[in-house]
Amino acid sequence: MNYLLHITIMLEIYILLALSANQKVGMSGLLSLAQAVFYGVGAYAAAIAITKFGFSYWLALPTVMLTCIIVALLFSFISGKVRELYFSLATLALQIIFFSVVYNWIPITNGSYGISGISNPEIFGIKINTPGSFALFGGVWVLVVILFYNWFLKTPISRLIQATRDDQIAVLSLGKNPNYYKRISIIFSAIVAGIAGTLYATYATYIDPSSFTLDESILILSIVLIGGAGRIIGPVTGAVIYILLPELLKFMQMPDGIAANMRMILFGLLLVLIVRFKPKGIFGKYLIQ
Amino acid sequence: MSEILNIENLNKSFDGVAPVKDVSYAVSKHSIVLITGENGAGKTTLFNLITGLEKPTKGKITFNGNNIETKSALQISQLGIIRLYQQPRLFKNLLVWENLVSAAHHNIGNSFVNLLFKSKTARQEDETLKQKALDLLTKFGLQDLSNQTAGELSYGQQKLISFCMIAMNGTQLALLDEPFAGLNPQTIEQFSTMILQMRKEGITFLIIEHNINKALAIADSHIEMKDGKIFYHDKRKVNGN
Repeated sequence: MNYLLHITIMLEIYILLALSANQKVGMSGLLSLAQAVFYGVGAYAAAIAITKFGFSYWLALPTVMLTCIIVALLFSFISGKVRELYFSLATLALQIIFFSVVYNWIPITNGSYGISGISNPEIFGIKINTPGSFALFGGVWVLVVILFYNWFLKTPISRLIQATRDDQIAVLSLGKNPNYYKRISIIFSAIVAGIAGTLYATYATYIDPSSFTLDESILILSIVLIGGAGRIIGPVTGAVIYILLPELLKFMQMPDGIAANMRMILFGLLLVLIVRFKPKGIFGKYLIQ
Repeated sequence: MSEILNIENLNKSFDGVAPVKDVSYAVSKHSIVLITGENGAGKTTLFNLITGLEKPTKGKITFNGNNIETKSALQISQLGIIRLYQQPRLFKNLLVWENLVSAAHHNIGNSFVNLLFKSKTARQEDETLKQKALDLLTKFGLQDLSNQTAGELSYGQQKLISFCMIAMNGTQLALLDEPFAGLNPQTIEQFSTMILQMRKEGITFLIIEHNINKALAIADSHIEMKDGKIFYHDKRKVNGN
């Protein structure tokens, strides 16, 4: 039972990460290779706020959001002038810089040893420290983010974010600033990834740099690519496939060691098949380019 | 009749080439000016200079009495000078009505702060703009396209829709780059009617077009460019006077 609940919590974290990546890739057409950076910024900001400053979860959360907004703003100012491949290269640079910082800034991040002893959240004095309560807590976050996107996707600003994705010169020639809409998108994406990071840090109670690598960023991007970009259902489906695939392998009586490798092989194969036969992904509205 | 755009001794040169040389011209409000000329005559560079995509080496451009030659492309489009490219530039993954509403000059829901603090007003304004977009499509007989994805429209339909976006934008001066290129005679007629109707509603047009006969039928005046200069101009027909 606990294992199933653990799977549920990981699924919730990956749904949030996929939704955050979808905001950037699917809604804005910004192919980011640095989604794990904002996941990591969220996790580290929460871990530092809780362990070093004694913040509660609810005080750490706004700190996380603020940190994510600051990093996203800095990044969007730097990358605001570049497009397409150059934007992706800028995100790659951000990913490398972030990993180097958390790995080497030992007084703050504890380097490769990571940060342990991150306390679980509390609501009205009730500690969320069982897999069941955490699964419920994570489920509430997923619901909040999905409800937010369900509202946000129908707003005029979201239409202009998508318009900027489709043709930013046309947006400019209509008297609107495409950089503003890209910036808004990067900020929202960072906040949602930061929430996922906070959830992960307070669930695992330990974080280290190995969870926020380039591999993780590519994995998050692949989840969106498989599920499909531009809609809510796509990233959710991608996350479900990624998390449940190894569980299906268990039904095939495969030893754990082989199943772990098979998961990545099957996920890679699925990615190749999707790119070849359904380039917009299973439920995609927009073709990632 | 008052002038909306005044170009004085405009020059542009780079790398020893001067695509625009000493161009001076005044465009009257609510007129349709046709610009013709061979390839390389300087027509597109002139459009780039007016819209701020390129900066003049020398000369002055005033729009409604304000100097615009040093302003950015974004500032110029915000003043009401909108350019329509030869290839229609639509938001291809959005519906047609969404394209039109996105083109609206002002929508308070375009700001996230307004969405949070003035959500009711933002929703109402968005609804009003949607209705305005549907009315506009109906006016031009394009209402059946409103719920189609823009990328799925034919080339001609895309051109007509991108033209409708000008009307939604509160444009004062529209620069049309070969609007009739690639269109069948029937769509050209439809496009011409739309231009004349929009002129009546107060929009001034500068049109680059190679289909001279069709464009002359709606133009109030005609200038021809050659080697970066105005080679010929005829203002006799300004606004039918």
